Amino acid sequence: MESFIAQLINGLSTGGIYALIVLGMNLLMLVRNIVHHSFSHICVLNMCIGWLAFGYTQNVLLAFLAMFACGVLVTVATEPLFRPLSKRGADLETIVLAMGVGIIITEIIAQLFNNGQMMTFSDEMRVLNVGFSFGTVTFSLANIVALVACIVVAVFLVWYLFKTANGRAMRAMAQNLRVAKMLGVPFGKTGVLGFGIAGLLSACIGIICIMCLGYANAEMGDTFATKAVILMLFAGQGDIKGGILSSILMGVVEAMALAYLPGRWTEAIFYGFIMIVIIIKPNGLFAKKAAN
Amino acid sequence: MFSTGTTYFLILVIVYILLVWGALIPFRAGLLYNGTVYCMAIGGYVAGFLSKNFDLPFIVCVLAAILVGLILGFIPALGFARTNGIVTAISSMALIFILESVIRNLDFLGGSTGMTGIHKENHLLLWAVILLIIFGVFLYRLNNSRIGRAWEAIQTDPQMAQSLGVNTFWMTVAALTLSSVFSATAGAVYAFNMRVLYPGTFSFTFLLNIMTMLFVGGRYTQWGAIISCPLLWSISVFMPTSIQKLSNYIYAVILILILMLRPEGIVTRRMTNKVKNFFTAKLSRRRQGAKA
Repeated sequence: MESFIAQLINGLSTGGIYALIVLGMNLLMLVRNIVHHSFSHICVLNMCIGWLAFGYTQNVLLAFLAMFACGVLVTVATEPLFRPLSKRGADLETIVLAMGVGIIITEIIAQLFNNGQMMTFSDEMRVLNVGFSFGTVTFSLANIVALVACIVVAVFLVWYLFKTANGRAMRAMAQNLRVAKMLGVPFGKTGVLGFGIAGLLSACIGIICIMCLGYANAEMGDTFATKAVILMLFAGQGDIKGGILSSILMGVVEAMALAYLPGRWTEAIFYGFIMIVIIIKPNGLFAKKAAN
Repeated sequence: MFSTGTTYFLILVIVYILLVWGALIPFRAGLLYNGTVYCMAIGGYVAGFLSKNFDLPFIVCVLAAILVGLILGFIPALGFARTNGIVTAISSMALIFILESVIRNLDFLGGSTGMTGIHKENHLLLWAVILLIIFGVFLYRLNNSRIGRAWEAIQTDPQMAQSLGVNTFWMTVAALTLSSVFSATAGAVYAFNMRVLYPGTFSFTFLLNIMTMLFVGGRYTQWGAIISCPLLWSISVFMPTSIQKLSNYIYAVILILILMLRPEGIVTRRMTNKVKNFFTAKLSRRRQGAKA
């Protein structure tokens, strides 16, 4: 029973990380109607920048600040790449373009940081990774923080999208780009703003990953990216609540499968299950109305 | 006739051309299908298994690979025909991960250590060229046939195609199945060329290579592949080692630039029409001259 609860908490925190990535991608989906496949690559790049900054300065706060700066800068820097495509309405090509960006970031991590070796973070950077025991169950505080952060960020995003003028502009652009432009929504400014918020989110994800996982390498980006994009489709594109629910659910399922199933087939089951659901419900599990 | 290195290079170029054609056929029906690598792995492993264990000649192995590829491509195609756009792209990407996980767990296919002991085929280049010509002529005839026009109608507007009496479901299934035939053939040739297969080869990076070649060459005509495959593949083969290290960067940058600046790729539909008009105009002038 203790191990079951520990696995449950573990799965919930993994699901929280997935949910944050899916949230970021959903935001970009709303802003520019793109699938930013390389969003999780940027998160991993942030972790690497944090590792580098900590190595130079030995100061946790400065390292985190560097991560925020990197996240915002890199994410906003990708915006001009997508602009001609989203103006053209070529949504299929954006995913290929994002894959190209992802490959560049993966190569940068593999060749420039720590000679492609796995980077492990010191205990000073993993501030919140404190053992916590509740009866006989022990778990790390970072896991709880991941889950809480996911909920807080989601609430903030929903508030931002539904209660502020900029958020309304983003939703208008997601619905119909041409009409939104006609009504005076600034195409460039709103997009950069959305990408900037996604960049802040990517830095948060980097920090939470440092606390929960404690290591980073080049392959992490690809693994996270595929899982996050598939989970996004699983819930339905641009569906924020569905994205969070399905991510947390799949995080738990994955943790349970790793713990209790013979480990060799986990991946095939995970992807196979999601693929069948996507094929049966192409608009997502939580889609309310069918597309015409 | 050629040195070993050149033969190896030419056969791999042919493999890539076949694969790009495999990705092109679903694109003509308006789908971005990432299952080419999946079908290629199937073709490669079937051909390798038959050659290794039953000592069958090359052409029998290729035919068997085509048959198995056809069947295993047809089953997911039934599901993918219901989806469209980004959903197809991502969920077909999941196929790659599923197959990789399955191959790693099957001991008779070599598992994670890879499959070795595929027999040597002496006239492989000749066979490969023959296969390329057969498939090229087939694709050319197909593009200008009733089915090809139906695909083009689906690509332009699925609802219009349906109203014109095109059965979109079965046409899409046909496109995906034919794509798997092309990819399975490419896989079989690849297996005989490399003579060792690892499950890790058929991965995301490989998919990005194919996508780059498809998008750079031009994804509306079959001629783009013939230009882009040798061009791009020679970057990672013939260039000095210092540049080869950067080949992934170069691929990604070329892909991004082409997508942003030249949406149709190098060879556009206009260009092929011009070439066609040039020749037909000359011919008709000559005929007129003969009459006079």
